[in-house]
Amino acid sequence: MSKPTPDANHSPDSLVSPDSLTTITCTGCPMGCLVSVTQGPGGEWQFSGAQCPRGDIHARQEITHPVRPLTTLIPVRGSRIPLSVKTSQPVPKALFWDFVDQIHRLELERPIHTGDILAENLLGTGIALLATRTLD
Amino acid sequence: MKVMPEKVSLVIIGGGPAGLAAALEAQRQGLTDILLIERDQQLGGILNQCIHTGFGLHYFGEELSGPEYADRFSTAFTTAGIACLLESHVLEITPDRVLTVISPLGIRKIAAGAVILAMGCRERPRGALGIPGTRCAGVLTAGMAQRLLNLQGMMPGQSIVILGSGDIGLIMARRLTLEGAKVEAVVELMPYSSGLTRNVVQCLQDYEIPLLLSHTVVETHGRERLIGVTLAPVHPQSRKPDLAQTRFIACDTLLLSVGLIPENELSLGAGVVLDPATRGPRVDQRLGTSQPGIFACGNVLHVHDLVDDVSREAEQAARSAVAFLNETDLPAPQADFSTGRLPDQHLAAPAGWPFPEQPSLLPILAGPGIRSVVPQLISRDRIPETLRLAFRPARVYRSASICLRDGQGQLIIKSQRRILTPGEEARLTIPASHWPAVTAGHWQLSIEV
Repeated sequence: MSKPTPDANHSPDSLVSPDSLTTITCTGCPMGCLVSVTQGPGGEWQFSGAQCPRGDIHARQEITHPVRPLTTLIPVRGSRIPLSVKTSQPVPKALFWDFVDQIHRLELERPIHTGDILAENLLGTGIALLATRTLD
Repeated sequence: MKVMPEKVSLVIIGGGPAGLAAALEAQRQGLTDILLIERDQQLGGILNQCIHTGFGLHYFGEELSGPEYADRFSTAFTTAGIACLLESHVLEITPDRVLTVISPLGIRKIAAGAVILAMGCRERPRGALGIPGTRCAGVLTAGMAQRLLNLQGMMPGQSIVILGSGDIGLIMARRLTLEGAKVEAVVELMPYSSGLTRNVVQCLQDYEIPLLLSHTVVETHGRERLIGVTLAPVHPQSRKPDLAQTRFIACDTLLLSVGLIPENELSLGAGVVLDPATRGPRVDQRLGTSQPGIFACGNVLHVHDLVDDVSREAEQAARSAVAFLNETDLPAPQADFSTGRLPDQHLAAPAGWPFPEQPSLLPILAGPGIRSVVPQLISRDRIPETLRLAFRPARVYRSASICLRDGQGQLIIKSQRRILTPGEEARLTIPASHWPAVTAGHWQLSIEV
């Protein structure tokens, strides 16, 4: 994962102020507003370009603490079918691949039931890993 | 189930989210004689392979993965003790609702008091696109790749090009990246993505996967296995590829995410009239089809964006089916929804569909700017308290109004929208207070800018 790039649906040049540090595509609705992010004299974040307040909220989240849902598969000993899993809450974007590596290192055995906690406090974040299917 | 019954009050075809929600609601309405028929070995349908989250926010108020959403319904279904045939396939439905079913118990006929169609949809295949090139391995639909990866743990390839930016394609771009593949590009014919903005950002931008708008695949290369594809930009209006500007991308896999088609072979056999725009049955507000006692819900009716909407719609179909079984005194719609034949998909605009002058049915036409609308008809003898129309716009509109007008052009209701896009089905609610005196003619839904 890296810095979000401008939405290819739009022509960013005409919408984004030249001194903006980055632009963030709001995912709150299909409008997909491009929010440009700048810093004020005191270092505070400033947002412009969104057509509703959700754009600023989304951009602030993305610039200060971006998170992403994480679902993946883990092979289970003795099962032809891999286990689908999810994290108990979205994971910090900066740690996304670390989470993936950690999760793929788990070794599991049946039986496993939907909702079972497979690992707790991943990477010290307090985020757990949950099974999303049952393998009896 | 040990013995297949000869007669059942309500048969539901399909054990995915639509069928499960319909069965549970029919039981809540007091019906006990219900049979659900599913061709797979397990219930849940396509949800089982959708291991990403984003399901259930509306229905359950929490964000679930596909298997979890399916599990909630299949557990409730099993607990409710509703009869179910797995690994069973309906071969035919007659217009008077006699089903031919092939199952581990043999081939049998079942007479149904009412039928709910909940067979879902399937993906447009390569054959529907006519891409020139060799028929080598490595070209498959995005949903097939999803099934191989998520249910069978098999990687379909290592370097991937995805044609079509529908949500399944976007989600598979992320899934395959996460499992170690390199997604070279997502190629979209239209000048906009047909997927949700959230998926464009979180499945492509996060991983720096290029989205090539107004491009298409013009040739596939490879003898036994795909070795690459040729791309070309397309003209924004005619969408014809410019073969002077082609470009080769090496890849071992081409995924197609180019649309979903409701699976209506059974419906056609039963004489159910289809809508050329949705490619699902034409229904009234009760979700009744042109055949009395046959109802439709979920993706077999029209392709939905959210499973939550499928569940709610299926519950409506179940209530209507139970009401049909209980209220035989009410006149059922006759087989008068149209001329009874499906016109050529490419020639018939929705607005051009011929409507007979039926006093009991009020047609809702898809007017300018509207690709499709559901329901397509209102049964005047059962005017609901509120009517919800689901529709897809024909293109992207910013700052536009949805207008519903009567046959004389009088405005019934107008709703302002900041954005309308074909990638997201929109809804218009008409409260009872807005219902005019329903006269002859039709209503028309349109987008006005």
